[in-house]
Amino acid sequence: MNLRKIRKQIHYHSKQRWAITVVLLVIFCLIIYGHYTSWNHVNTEYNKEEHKTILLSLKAKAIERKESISKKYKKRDNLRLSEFNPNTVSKNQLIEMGIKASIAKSWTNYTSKGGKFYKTEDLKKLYVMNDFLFEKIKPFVQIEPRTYEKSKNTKQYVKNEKWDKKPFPKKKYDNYQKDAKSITHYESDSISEIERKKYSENFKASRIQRSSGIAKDYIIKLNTTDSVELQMLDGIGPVLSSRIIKYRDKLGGFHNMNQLLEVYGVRAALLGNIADKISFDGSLKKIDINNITVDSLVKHPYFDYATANIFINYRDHHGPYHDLSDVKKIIAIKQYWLDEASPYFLYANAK
Amino acid sequence: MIFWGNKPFGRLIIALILGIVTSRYFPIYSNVLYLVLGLVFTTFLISTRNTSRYREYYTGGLLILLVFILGYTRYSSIHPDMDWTHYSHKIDNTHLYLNAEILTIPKKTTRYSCFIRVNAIGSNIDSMHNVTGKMTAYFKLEDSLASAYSPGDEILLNGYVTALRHSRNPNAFDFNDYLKTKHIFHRVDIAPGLHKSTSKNLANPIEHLANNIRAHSLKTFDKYLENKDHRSLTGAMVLGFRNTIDPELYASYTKTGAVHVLAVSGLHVGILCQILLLFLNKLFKSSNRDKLIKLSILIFATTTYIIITGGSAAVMRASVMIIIYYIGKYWADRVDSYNVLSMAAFFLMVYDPYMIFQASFQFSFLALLSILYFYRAIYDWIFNYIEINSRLINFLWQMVALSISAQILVAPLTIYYFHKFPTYFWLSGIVAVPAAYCVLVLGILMIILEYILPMMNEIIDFLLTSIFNVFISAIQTIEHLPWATVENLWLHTHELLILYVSLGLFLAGRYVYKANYILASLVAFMIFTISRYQYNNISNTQASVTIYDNYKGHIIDFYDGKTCYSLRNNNIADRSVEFITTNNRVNKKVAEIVNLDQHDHIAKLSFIKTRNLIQFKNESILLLDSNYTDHKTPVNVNTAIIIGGMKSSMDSIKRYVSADQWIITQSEKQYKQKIWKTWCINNKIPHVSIKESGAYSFDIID
Repeated sequence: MNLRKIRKQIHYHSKQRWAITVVLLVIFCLIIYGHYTSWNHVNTEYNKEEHKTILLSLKAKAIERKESISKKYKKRDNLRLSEFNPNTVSKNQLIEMGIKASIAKSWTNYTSKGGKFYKTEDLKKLYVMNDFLFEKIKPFVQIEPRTYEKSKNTKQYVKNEKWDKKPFPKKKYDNYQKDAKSITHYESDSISEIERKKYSENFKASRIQRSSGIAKDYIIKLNTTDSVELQMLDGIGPVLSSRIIKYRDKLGGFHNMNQLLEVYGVRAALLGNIADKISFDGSLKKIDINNITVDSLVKHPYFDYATANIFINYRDHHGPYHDLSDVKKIIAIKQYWLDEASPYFLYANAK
Repeated sequence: MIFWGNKPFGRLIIALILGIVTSRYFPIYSNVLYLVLGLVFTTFLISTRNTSRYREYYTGGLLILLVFILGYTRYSSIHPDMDWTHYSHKIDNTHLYLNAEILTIPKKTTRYSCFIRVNAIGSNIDSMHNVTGKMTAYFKLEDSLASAYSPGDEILLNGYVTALRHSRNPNAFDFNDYLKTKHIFHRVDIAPGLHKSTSKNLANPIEHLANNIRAHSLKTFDKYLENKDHRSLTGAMVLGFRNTIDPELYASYTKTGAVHVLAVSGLHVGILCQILLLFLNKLFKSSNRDKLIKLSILIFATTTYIIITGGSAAVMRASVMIIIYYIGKYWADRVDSYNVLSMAAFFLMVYDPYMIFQASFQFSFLALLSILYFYRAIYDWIFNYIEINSRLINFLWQMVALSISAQILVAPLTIYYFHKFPTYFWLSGIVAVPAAYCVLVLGILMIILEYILPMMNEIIDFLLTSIFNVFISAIQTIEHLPWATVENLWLHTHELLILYVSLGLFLAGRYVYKANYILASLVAFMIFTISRYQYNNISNTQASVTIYDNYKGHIIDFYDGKTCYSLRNNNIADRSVEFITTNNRVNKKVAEIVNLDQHDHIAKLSFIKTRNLIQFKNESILLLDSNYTDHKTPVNVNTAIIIGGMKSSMDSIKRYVSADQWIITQSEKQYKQKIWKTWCINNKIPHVSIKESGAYSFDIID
């Protein structure tokens, strides 16, 4: 760009320069005056005598307000706890300890109607209990050790100290489903008719609400999924998904669709709905059948004591299992059982 | 360029704007700036006496540098960090005693709010100091004493003082940013009973007079105008009092592009001065002495009007321009309008550099610049094709030409600030401008006649009512015409600047008849188009989640292309949701909004929601709300959002739920939010607390 063009951009003839200079001088004077008045105002001491009465009344009101707010907060955090038995504590005792009256009332209502706390964590069953309060009162809770009584309503005998040391006898695999039903029947004795109806109505309602399920190309990996993702499948709710996961964890994984029928509550119709939405990818948790003991083997759902003893005895007599053909030599083992259980066998540590 | 020759302030204004903008984004708060300013000014003065050959270059250059430093220093000097008299240097507590002056009439919304000037501050009554500065004061709605305050009242109060925070939601209107342009950096919340008036009025005599005129004028309108809407519109158009306008009526004006008549602006000042000069020209002759008297009366009247109407940027611009124009006319026969406009902008920006960031200032100056440049060309254009003999058609065409010329430079700014554009602005202009003229004249007449001939006000009431009936129904008819408003428009800041550069180059090219400028303008416009295309493309394939900041609630938006799935509390008002989310959704170019309830199930191609789990593309998100059931089995997700109300214990959730990031919303109880946050910190888990950090957004990577 040549000098002429620059000159055109920044040229001011003398009258313009003079006028702009005057304007700028006036602006600077006004700015300085503005600053001067501010400085003067700030440098003057504040005359509080003029407004003393009003200021003092404001001070009194502010103190009064502060006190009323701190009283309100004090009540909330004013816990004066001492050791107590949550099953026998009275409402007044709870209030004296600083617990809110509404919480104390719900607490004593629960205990008076037969509710019992067997351990400290049972306090969380109370609807009014919050985590904050629980953490505060936890160290002060004193619950007597549980003493068992023979219940009139049940046919099962109660545990005593001798029984605690021995494991309960395991049921045979074939009878598993039958026992599951009997347990349910036992539990349902204690549920009132009204509650049972409510439960079934809610369950039906929740089933209706469920959508048509997930997108076609979305496949759930059954061996790695969690109970929340499982609920995305039509027909599976929170309880069933939880059961499936627990059973899977006990088994070490699923390898075919029929295994799902072993879960209580899973029916063939459900399998039909979900068959194309699940996969059995992922490795199974294997059992080292050459080094395992009977007590460890019976923990697997497919093994009872009888079967486990057969396995271990055969191994002790005939040596380690090298592959499935060795296992098939056990005459007492049925083929259909072997088809289900053999994927879990690990032969790698055969010596 | 000959263009600059008789517009010296046109060049200086650019230097001043650059100085102010530089100070905003690259601030230095130091008294050294005053020293530098003094030094440069002295050098400039010395240089004017020089007789060297290159004097013009460095004198001109020094002048531009001086104005740049002036703008920089003025902006910095007003900031509290540099202004040692500001009250922010005396804040040593949150609960403080203040001696303040009420500046605006308390406005009633969810609380009473007004601006106050702080005269003294202290944490106790024995340690109060005199200070300067402004704050915004909030009183509770049940505090009836607060509603009785008027501008100028001195009050003593004890309140909770906090610094203003920026908006914590993406692209939401930042009210606190807007307050900062008015030099307000703090707010004070005052409980009922902790404030009292000293029965003293601190306003200076002119302010006192103006406040009284305003109060009496509003009472006069209340007395004669029965219709609430007519009262509020008259108050707005004559006195700039907009506190009582019905929001729906205001929205109608916004949609039709006639909202500028509701705010007192240059139009109103122009009309007022025209009426005043009509009388003054009859009373005084054209001698120099009479000219000076007329000028003095004009200055006094416009200053009083500025004070009565609250001193908005538009009124100040118009008043300063008119004063400068008539001073110019007093001294010389010819006055250049562009130079007068630049001078007005120069003085206003030196007086208050923060004004340039106020939308009303930008609209006011751009609209007038646009009218000055385009009006004549647009008005004359029609005469190339038809001959207009009718005065009515001529008048109508004048109104249309005025509206169109004003909109040319203002339209990008309208889209930038309001994200919509009224297509019938030219039609509403035909109705709004004459109506504003009549209302202003009749309103002023009503105020004056109240003291002389009150019975005439019945006739004026009848005339005003008729005008308003026609005016409001016309505006409402235009509002309901098809395509009255184009909505959901978004311009980024850099796009706005590119657009203005392109426009500026085009206009400059047209003025100097040089093709290079037109070419440069086209290149700039092409850059703008590419930017628009790019943003459009991005919005088609976007996948992101935004959790907004909302007190005691949650609003979660899932952006899947141009569809937005939104999950929120039922107890959040629709208006709040609109305020928080609309701008962000417009920015993301959302075409469809699907509102979800916590119980809803939805299964789309890339967005699946069942109960608590959301599968969004390949991101799994767990919602921990009252619907969540603890299965005591491990759950592994990418994101866990804590909404609160879970029936499961926190311990159980912490044990079984594993997520790459945890987001704690404000729906969760406050004490539990702290527990979650402490747990995340102790276990080194990536987390975000919406209460502490504001809204949170993350993209889903495919």
